[in-house]
Amino acid sequence: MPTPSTSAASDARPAQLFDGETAARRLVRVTPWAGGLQLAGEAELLLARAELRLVSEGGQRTVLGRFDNPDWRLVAEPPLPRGWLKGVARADAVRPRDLRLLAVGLGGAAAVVAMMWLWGGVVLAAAAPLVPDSVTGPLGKGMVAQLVGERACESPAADAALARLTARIGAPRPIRVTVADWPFANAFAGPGGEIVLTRGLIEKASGPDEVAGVLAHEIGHVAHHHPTQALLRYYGVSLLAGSVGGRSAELADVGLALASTREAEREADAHALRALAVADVSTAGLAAFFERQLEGRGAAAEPEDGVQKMLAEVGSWARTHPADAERLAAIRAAGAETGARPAMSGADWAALKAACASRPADRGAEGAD
Amino acid sequence: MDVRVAGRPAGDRVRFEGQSGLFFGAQLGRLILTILTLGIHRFWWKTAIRRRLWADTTVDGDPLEYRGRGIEMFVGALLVFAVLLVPLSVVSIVQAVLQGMGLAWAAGLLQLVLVMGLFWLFGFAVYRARRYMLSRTSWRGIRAGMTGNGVSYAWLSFRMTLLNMVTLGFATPYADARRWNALWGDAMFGTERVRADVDWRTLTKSFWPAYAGSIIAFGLAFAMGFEGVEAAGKALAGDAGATMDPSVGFATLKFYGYLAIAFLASTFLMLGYRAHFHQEALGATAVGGLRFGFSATTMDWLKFYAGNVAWVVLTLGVGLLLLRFRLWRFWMEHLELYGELDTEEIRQSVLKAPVQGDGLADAFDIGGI
Repeated sequence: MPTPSTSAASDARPAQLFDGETAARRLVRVTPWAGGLQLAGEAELLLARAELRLVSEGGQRTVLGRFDNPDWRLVAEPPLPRGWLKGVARADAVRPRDLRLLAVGLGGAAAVVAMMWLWGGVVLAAAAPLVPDSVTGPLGKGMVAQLVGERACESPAADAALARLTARIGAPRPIRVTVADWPFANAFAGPGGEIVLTRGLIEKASGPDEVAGVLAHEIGHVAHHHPTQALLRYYGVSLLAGSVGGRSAELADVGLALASTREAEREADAHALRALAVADVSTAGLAAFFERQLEGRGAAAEPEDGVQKMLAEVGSWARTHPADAERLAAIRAAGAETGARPAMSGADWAALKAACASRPADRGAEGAD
Repeated sequence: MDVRVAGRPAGDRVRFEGQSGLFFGAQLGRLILTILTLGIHRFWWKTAIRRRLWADTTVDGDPLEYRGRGIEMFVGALLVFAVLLVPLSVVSIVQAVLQGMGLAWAAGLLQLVLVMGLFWLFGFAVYRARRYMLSRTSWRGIRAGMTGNGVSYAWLSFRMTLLNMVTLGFATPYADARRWNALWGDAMFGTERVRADVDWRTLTKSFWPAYAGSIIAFGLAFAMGFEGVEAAGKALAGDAGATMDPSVGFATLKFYGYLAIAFLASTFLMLGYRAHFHQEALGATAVGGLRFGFSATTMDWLKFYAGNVAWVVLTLGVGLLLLRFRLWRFWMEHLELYGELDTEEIRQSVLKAPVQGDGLADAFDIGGI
């Protein structure tokens, strides 16, 4: 069927009209008029520019829509001259409704972020103690089992020595200390009063006071419910970031997790200083630990596998953090007044140092766990 | 009455005019924007890709149109976070608590329920993603859509998953046919319902040889690498000594090598079934007087997948940006149409279109396009 043409419209362009009611195609000729476009042929229409919108404009064709009928389409192939479409709104042009939606969305997101920044710590601090021990206990146990696994050092004598040390330092809730057979010096606190000390920490310690200082610091984390807070933060923030932002947002989340530990470290330090003073243990040990952390780069044994590397990195982050010098100064200032009795008896200290002695010597063999 | 526009070549009724160079160029900016927005931009990115691909595709000379909006997908993702990820994380906490309490059987039971729930949700996500995509797709001004809400499809898909698990994949043709018929049988173009009636018996012709070949391939792998099977079993059972013996380690390696070869052979054999399935499935699908066909042979599929791998490897991963384009082009190049739609009879869709996008599918990483 040839395109109908009249001599009057020599510059007419062929197009197909779809009225949005049926799938039928009507062949029309498009010509411009002062107010917009005129259609002739199988449909006769006079269209104003203001009621038209440009759906797409490619090399092949021009597609026009209508504001009052979202399904109406005029498809011109080849495309209409640019000049004919002057003043026709683009379909993907930002509409006032979109701007409002975007403003509400961005405002809401900014408010949530600001609230998390300002009050997130407060909310977490308030929420963490509400999580009952029946939840945090098994969680912590499971986490330590997963983290330390086969590398837990089993020594009744060391356990008894640690129990006496913990009793002397004092703790707001029952504490379970696990010694992990790792060469690097570090310590962690988990939910439910779980604390992990590494073999490297005990071996490199200048004496029992240093282990006592680090243990008091970790008990400070437990007292302030920091591990439970971290858990809540993980399930709150990380899941939101992961589900909305995809994988790249999870990286940002790691930063958040680290950033929020600064305040926690200070709180744990303060707790440790108080506890050591009450227990009449010298804070010089804790200071010595920090001094070594500040100076002793490269002195630590090289981590063997990925997990160890990661765990050692947690320490190295703290080591490079500028706040550490500040923390050390605070500990030194407090240390002047205290410190009389050694934290542990000679026998207890010897037992603790030998905590991992019963483990097989070829430590490289179980790198796979 | 064929009203093809003058000057357009006859032949393929489905034509894809997209140019990979132009497409690729447009993706780079989007990639950077997505990284800068911590992934949030990807909803708008995905929408822009669909708009481009749809607009570059013509059916009987008339372009497809995608009307989805990024904000809809964004809202969908937020919704999934609220109704899915939060409860899921609660379940995972409960599970960790149960594990820590020593109730391994309860944790295992919960895990089973969780996995079953995810199987169900997967089918639900597939349906909802399809429904959203079709509701935003139009041609000749008429919208497509789906009639159901996805619940009954989710149950069907769940039953088919269980059936395939019990029969070790032997029921694949039956499950594939049931799923195809249920999914496409719910689709509509305007007021015209899509009919899908794949008979699974016709699929067995290509499936049974592929299945038998796969069984033989895996059987051979197990027989030839039998020493390795034993060693791998011991290693899995936690016998650390077994993995330390180099000769045993080599046997394990050999076994995995045989397994890899068997897997490749099985994949290749199953490609023949895939090709046959798509030919049969589209051949048994129609809307009004319009019937579909799919011309891709096993070699076409092989070339397509090999091309994808080559693209990604040779461009060091940059080619990933083109995979959606390649997938769409592959489909459009092999999609065939027979017969005509009674376009005067097809009226505008009265289906209620979903308000938000395929957040669930996004969470499951479903769908190539």
